[in-house]
Order: sequence, then C-alpha cells, then structure tokens
Amino acid sequence: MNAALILVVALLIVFVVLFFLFEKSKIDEKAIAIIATLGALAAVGRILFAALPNVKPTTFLVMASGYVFGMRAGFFVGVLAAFFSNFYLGQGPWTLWQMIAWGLSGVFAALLRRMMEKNDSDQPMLAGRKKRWIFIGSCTVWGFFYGWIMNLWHFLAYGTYMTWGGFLAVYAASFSFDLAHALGNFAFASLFATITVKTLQRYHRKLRVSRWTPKEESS
Amino acid sequence: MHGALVFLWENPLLLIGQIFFLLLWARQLKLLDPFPAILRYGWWISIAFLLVNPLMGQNGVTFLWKGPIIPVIGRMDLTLEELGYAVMAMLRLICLLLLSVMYQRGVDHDRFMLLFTKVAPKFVLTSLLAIRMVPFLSKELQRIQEINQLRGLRPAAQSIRAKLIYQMNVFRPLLLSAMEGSWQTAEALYARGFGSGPRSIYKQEHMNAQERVSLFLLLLFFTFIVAARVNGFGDFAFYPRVTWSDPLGDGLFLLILSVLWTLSAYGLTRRSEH
Repeated sequence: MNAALILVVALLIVFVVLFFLFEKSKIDEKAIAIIATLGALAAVGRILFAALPNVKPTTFLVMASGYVFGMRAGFFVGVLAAFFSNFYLGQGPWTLWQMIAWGLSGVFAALLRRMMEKNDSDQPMLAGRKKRWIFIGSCTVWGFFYGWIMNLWHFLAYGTYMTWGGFLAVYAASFSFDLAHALGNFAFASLFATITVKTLQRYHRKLRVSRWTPKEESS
Repeated sequence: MHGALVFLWENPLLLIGQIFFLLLWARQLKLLDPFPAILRYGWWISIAFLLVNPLMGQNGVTFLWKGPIIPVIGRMDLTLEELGYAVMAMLRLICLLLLSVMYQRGVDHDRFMLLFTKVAPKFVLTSLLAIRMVPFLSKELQRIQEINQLRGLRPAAQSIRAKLIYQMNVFRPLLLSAMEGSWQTAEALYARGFGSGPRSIYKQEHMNAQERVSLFLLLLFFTFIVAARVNGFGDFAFYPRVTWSDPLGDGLFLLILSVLWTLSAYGLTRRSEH
C-alpha cells in the first residue's frame, strides 16, 4: 500500500482522537467563540492573500492565537483556518496536512510562550525586544517548517519508488514558495505581532474571569 | 472512494479511465466551468519531479540515456521505466486535483457540517460559528475602510511604508471588532443555556433513502474493488521492467468499474436535480 495513503489514514485517526477529546472537554462557550473567530480570521486572511503565492497572514495569526490562548486554542485555530479556507481554495488530501501543519505551529507558539512568559502573569506579553524578536523569528522559521511538512505529503503522494533526487527536487522546487511564506510571516509578525498579542491578551484576561454561580459559592 | 482508489493502483489504464470518468461526471454536473485556478501552482513541483526523479533514480533496465556518475547520488540516467512511473505519478496528481475541485464546487458546506451535529456538536458549533464569521468580517472590513476614507486615510498612498501603516489602521480595528463579535456570540450562547446540559434540539440534515442505498452500494463496490485488486486485477509493475500481465482483463475490469462508478454517482446526484 502507498505510504501517502497510510499516513493519511494515520492522520485521520489522530484527528478523530483529537476531535473526540475536544468533544469530551469542558470547553466553555467563550473559548469556542474565540477559537471560531480566530479560525475564521486566519482563513479569511489566507483567502484575501490567495493571489500572492504563500504570502499569507495565517501562520502568524495561528501562532499569535497559540501564544496567547494556549495549546488547544492554537491547534484548533490552525485546524479551522486550513479547513475553512479550503472550502474556497480547494479541499483535498492535502487539507489534513495543512490542518496538522498549522495546528502544530499553534502548539509550538504555545510552548514558546511557556518558555518565555511567566505563568498566569498579567504582565504584557512579548514585552521587550528579545521576546518580540524570538516570536518574529519563530513565525519566520515556521514558514519553512510548514512548507516542509506539505512537501512531505507532496513527495509521498507520488508513490513507492521515491528517490533522494525526487525528494530534493520537490524540496528545491518549493524553496521559493517556502521563502515567500517565511518572508511574509516575518513581515506580518514584525508589523502586527505586538498589537495582535496585546489585543488577544485583553480577551484572554476576560476569558479567565469566571462567572459567579450559587453552586460555586456553596462549595 | 475515488480518492482512496487513486492510491490502490499504479496501472495507467485504470488511472486514465478514472480521470476520464471524473471529467465526464464533473462536466455533467457543470463543476468544471470555469476551469479551476487550483491547477496553477502544483505544476511546477510536479514538472520538477517528472524531470529530476527519473534522472536520479536507479531503477529500470531499458536505458534511454546514460549520463555521468556523480559522487553520493550515483549515475545520472534515464530509463523508460522511471519515465513511465513519473507519468503515472502525474496522472495520480491530476486525479486528486479533479476530485478536489469537484468536492469544492459540488458540496454544500453548511449542509455537510449539519450531518455531524449529533456525533460532534461542539466541533460543528465551532465550525458553523466560523463560517458565520466570514461574511461578518468582510462587512466589517468594508465598514472600517469606509471610515478610514472619511477620516482622510487612504490606501493609495505612494510609499510602501505609508501603505503598511494604512494596513495596520485597518487590521487593528478588524481584530478588535472580530473579538468583540466573538464575545457577543459567547454571551448569546450562554443566554441560551449552552453548556448547561446535553443539547435537546439539533438541526440535523437527514439522508434520504436513495442516498443511504447509494452510500451502501458505494461501500459494497469499494470492497469489491479492493478484493479484485488483492486477486491481481489491475496489476501493473514498472520495475525492474514494465510488466502488464493482462491488458485485456484490465480493460474489462475498467469497464466493470465504470458501470459501478456510474451507478453510485447516479444515486448520489439525484437529489441536486430535484
């Protein structure tokens, strides 16, 4: 059986498990609404920039979401962005790979935040030049990572007799696209990282304020 | 089914037959008019693969060209088998792209999502909220641009820097507006009792009897095709030498496949005609 098909089936199983966990999680309506909104925003950003090959604000928005709202939100914003933008741009077996690639970029940003920011701190995120540049650098590098994950699918889809030459050809042919993606991410992150993260953090704080219920008081 | 079948065989006759069938089906449903732009970008990578993979591959015995030996990579050569395999890979890609375009243009996304309301209510809710956000965001973008214009901020500024500043003036209110919109949605969900218990009302999309039968047949046909493949139908080997053991049998197999595909396609497309 073809390696690409096995991997697609494996990815489908991973997604079924993740969606099952999502369904069983105690996620509240505010988090759902925010994930949906950010997913839609990232998808719209991708559609708006469809004319420019690979220069899209999607990766940056997914990473900013993951950075502020955490791993689960980051992953699902990436998943939704790929899924919904492909309603307009074209669904295919690659959708699963785009979902996983953008989902992972969101997860990576959440991990980055854990390393750079203090837990449960109300201090502004990305405060300071160093943190900002690390975030911008991460967005830029993910332009390449995303392309490499997608290339893997493209390469495996060709069949069983794959050569290192074919592998290199696929990666070399996509270099200009990956570079455009990385440069686009760099530009979007340099310009919008601070204000985006600041705005999202404001809503993250609101998200953490829980509602008062009599049940909570009695306990 | 077609998406999975693409990977089940490497027989060019079956792949060409599948492409031909999909083209006819798409044409009948008027899904290929205008011709899709999706085919634009993938070609560069495919052509590079078509050229480089055979050159650097070490498979096949019918040499068309023998080149120099390069350290690490090996001999640069071109064999009939490698070329055939690369063409087969291109056919496979065309098939996948066609399927993608047909799905994109033939499926009603809202109704498709509503099929899963019972098994995955949270994901469907999130998805439908996201779908709802798209027209909202486009209206908001238009509103913000109009306000900017009234305030004397124009995108027609000459320098790139001025254009970027203008984009920032559009992006920030759009983000704020989107987030505020999501907050209002969350409040509306809370007011309607979201999360207070299992949902009592689902707007579900039901499949009619004919669609159920068609899907069952589809599954049956798929099982039959997989069994046929396991028993050697459609066998085609590129390496070490191009071997096609039973062209006539595979031609008949393709004929049977065409009938099965047509039957299942007919059943599934009837609803759109009513």
